[in-house]
Amino acid sequence: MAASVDVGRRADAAAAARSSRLGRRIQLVAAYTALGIGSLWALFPFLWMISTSLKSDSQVLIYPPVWIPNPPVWSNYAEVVRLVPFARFLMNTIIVSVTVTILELITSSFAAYAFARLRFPGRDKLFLLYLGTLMIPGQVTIIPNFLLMSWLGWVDTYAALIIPAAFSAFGTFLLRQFFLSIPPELEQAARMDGASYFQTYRHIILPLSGPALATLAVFAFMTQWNAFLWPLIVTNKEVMRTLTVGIRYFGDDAPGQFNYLMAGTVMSIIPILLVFLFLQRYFVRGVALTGMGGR
Amino acid sequence: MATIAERPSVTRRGGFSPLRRQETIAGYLFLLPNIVGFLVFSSIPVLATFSISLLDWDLIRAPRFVGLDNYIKLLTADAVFRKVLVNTAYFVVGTVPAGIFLSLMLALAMNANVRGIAIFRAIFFIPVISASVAVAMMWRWLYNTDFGLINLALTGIGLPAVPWLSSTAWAMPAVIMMAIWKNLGYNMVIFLAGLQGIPAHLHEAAAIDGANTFQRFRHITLPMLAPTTFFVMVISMIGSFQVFDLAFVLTKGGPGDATNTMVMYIYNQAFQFFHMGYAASIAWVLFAIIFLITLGQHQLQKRWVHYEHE
Amino acid sequence: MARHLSRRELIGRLALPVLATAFVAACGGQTAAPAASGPSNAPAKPAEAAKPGAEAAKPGATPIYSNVVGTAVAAAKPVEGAKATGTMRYLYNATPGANEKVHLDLIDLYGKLYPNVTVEKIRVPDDAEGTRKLLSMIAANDVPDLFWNRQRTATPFIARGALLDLKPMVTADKIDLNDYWPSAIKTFSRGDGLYGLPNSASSNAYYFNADLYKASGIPLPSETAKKGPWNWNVLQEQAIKLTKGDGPNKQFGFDPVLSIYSVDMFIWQAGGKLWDDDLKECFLNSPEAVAGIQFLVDFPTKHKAMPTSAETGTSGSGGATDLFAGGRTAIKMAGRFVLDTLLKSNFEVGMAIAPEGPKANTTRGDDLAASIVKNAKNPEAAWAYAKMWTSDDGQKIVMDSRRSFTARRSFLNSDTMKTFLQPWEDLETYKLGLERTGVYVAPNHTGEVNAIFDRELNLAYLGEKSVKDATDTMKKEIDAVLQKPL
Repeated sequence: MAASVDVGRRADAAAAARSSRLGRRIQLVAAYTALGIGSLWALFPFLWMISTSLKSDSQVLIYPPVWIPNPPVWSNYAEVVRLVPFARFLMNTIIVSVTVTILELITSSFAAYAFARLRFPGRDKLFLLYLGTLMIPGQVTIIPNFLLMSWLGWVDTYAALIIPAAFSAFGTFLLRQFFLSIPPELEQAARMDGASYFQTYRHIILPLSGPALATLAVFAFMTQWNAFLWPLIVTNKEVMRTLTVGIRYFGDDAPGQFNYLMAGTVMSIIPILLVFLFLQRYFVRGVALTGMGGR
Repeated sequence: MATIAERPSVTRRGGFSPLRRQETIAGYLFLLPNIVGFLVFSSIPVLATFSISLLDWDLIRAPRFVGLDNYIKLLTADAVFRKVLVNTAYFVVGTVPAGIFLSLMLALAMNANVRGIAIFRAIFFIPVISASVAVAMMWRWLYNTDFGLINLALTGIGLPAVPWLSSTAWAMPAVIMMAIWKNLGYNMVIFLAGLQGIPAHLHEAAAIDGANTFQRFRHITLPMLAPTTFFVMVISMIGSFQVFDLAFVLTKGGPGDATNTMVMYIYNQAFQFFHMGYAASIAWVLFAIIFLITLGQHQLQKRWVHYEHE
Repeated sequence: MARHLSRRELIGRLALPVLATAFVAACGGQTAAPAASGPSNAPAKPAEAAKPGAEAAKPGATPIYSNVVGTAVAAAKPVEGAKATGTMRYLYNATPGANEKVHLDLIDLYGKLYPNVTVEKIRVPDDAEGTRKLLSMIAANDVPDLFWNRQRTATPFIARGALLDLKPMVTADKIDLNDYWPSAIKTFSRGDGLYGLPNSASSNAYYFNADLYKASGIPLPSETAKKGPWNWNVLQEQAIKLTKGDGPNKQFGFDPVLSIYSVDMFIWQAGGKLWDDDLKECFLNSPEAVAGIQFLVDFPTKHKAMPTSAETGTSGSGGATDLFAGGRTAIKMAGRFVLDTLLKSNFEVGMAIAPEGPKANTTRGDDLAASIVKNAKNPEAAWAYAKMWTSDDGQKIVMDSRRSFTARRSFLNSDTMKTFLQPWEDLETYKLGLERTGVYVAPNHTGEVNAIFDRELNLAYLGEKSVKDATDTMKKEIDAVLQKPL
């Protein structure tokens, strides 16, 4: 009796496994198709940018646009680099983006830990102030900010490009939310064992925050890389300008040559894409890191 | 043993326990690296803009104190302000719910552990990092009434061509669609990170108990994702209320103010009309609106967000 | 495991273009900062010593510059007894390449004439950013010396006293203001003062796509204008005939006329005025002005012969949806700045003077000037630059750049004039257009007036508002703005 039930169950399980395997394969095909269509939709403008960037000065004017430039003018990329101080802009942008990202990661995570885990007078009101600064558009804050830079003598310096951006409330807000969703049992255990707040932060919170930190890193890097208004206002000399500003020299609505504009834009996207790809492994972990049941 | 969270804040009358004082000091110390920079470079300029809103100032000549005149004029006698307020609300309603829903679905899909998923994630992130200027050029062609691909597709299946950018009725939907497209990857990344925080064992246990995908999503994923969802809602709301760049490069606010938004109006007032004080007052009205809505979201959050402790 | 592979693969695939870019940047790129007055960014891809002017009428040909400028700059010698020294900060905007050539050439010339001065270029992408940049610098009391501008960007600054009155320097250096186009002088004057020294005139003309005209069997406007009649009726007939096709083959007759600085011409030609001379009252809804605006609005609404502004999406030229450059509209009203785009276009180009209106044949202008900012640290160096710009050598550079036209009437007769023009460009047409230019007197609140005008005109163009309603709204709102104190 038990044996036949067993066999029956095993047969059922095998049948279920087969149909679920088939089901999974169908699901996979459907998923890839959907992803493919979605990707095309997401990639479309990028493909157009690349296509436009490879057109000659005459071909780029043809309207409606043709898709495949014939012949592809690879030298457009070289021209962009020649027409503006590209290497210098690139270097400035790398310095600024990397430094701001590092500064923001460090200081925001400290502050977020304080807001998420520690009790002190004025905590909630202070956090509201943090949130509040995100709600005032930069169009109006740029003037007082610039006056401050001028008063400090920071115009045309890296300090002006880096320091004000590194203390945005965005990072603190993002990390606070993530820290709040980490179960406190780990920390409580550590505190009971005599760990200081800093040790708890370093050995418990930080390792668990990989995805959040990676997210912040990507966003901070991307925001600084693509920053336009602030670098434009706070620098005068060409030698201090950044890449996004430099690419915009090629115009927007009435550009001199927008094949160059597209070439510059494509070149500007690649580094952020690389950073994103590099940090991907921290986004998606899938498997538990600590011994704490699956987290 | 009382956990840190449950310990009463005051153990004897008139003072904090020494442990509580230690926590307070730790709190301020952790805050220190960030808060100095934050106060000087974020708070002070923001508060300065409030002072500016009490002035009539063109940035060239000496400012003139006018008290609350800017606010009064703005709220009672400015038809354009009312229009941009409505436009902005339209934009927010159009982009935020749809955007959050779609990016959550996308994140769930991107969370799958299949071959090559990393490339797909990157692909969906590309619109986010592409410069608005280049993106808008492309979309302006797509939206072209006669030559654009979207109308080509519509007429191909028998629907009439839509004057996307050439009518006051369709211009904002055009901006909304482009905005949703551009920002999908942004929230996708945040949701992805949030999804990592959901313990796999919960899903396994539920699966063994017979819960199907949808049930697991509804009873495990969603609640555990709540802090992230709150963040996404607040940031999306702030971001969409402050829409400027995308609309500006696509339509410059036209046609006929159909896509003029609050921040675009602020920009025009400050740098085209030379009324910096008035522009600042618009910014603070915008702030008040966003703040109140965020406060409301915060209150709602207390009811449905499940932080694992607190 | 699978993920690792795909990431490596992807990075491997991306490495090549990234490395290629880096390689290209290293070889072809700039070294450190561009020298302040160095020609290292010279955009002149084509040989500078080529034959002047010829061959450029062919579609898609590489634009060629004359060698007059090169010769002039090479021959320049330092100015005797020049007082200018130090750094001169120059705020301007230009897209790299051909658009920038005028500034780079001038800086080269300046470097030869005043070797003791270093030019610090403060560059912005466009006019709007230039305004924003200048405002922030004035607010911080750290201003540039020289500000390159046009009427719409200069007026708000002039009105608020941000620019220096150049009259004393004009008088001291005995500059003959009568040599300049009167409209240009008037544009930059206010009261008794002159706040910008005009260095370029926007020559208003109609550029047309000869291929489209020939394909429809219509005589070219360049001939029609000379033989006559060449007026609004003829323009309208032609535009209607030249509008045909469907979908991707559609073509329109007339390219949109959008800003107030172009529409004013039609108002004047209909016998109207925009406002009274004291700038207290707006006349945009007068019957004459309405007639002028209606003529334009009829093109898209009644005759379907004009695309909307959103469709062609650009106020300058060469944008992604520039229908004229793309060969989709037959005739376009523009200034000489479209030349570089047209030279790369895929069709044959021609030009003609603006057709005459029912009541007048006034044309429109848009002049460029150099202004000195108040409280600038080095006004002498800035003035030297402004003066150089309007000298003969400076005007050669202006003409050669194909961005605009000379600001000085006497230079029209210079013997180098012909070398700067394309074979199909007609000097007489330019002259006539410049002589007929009407004066647009800008109100103090330029931005607000323009915003009202643009909004209402746009609604009229889309057919969502009648011209009468649109102009009535314009009058009501613009009157309110005109009454506002500064």
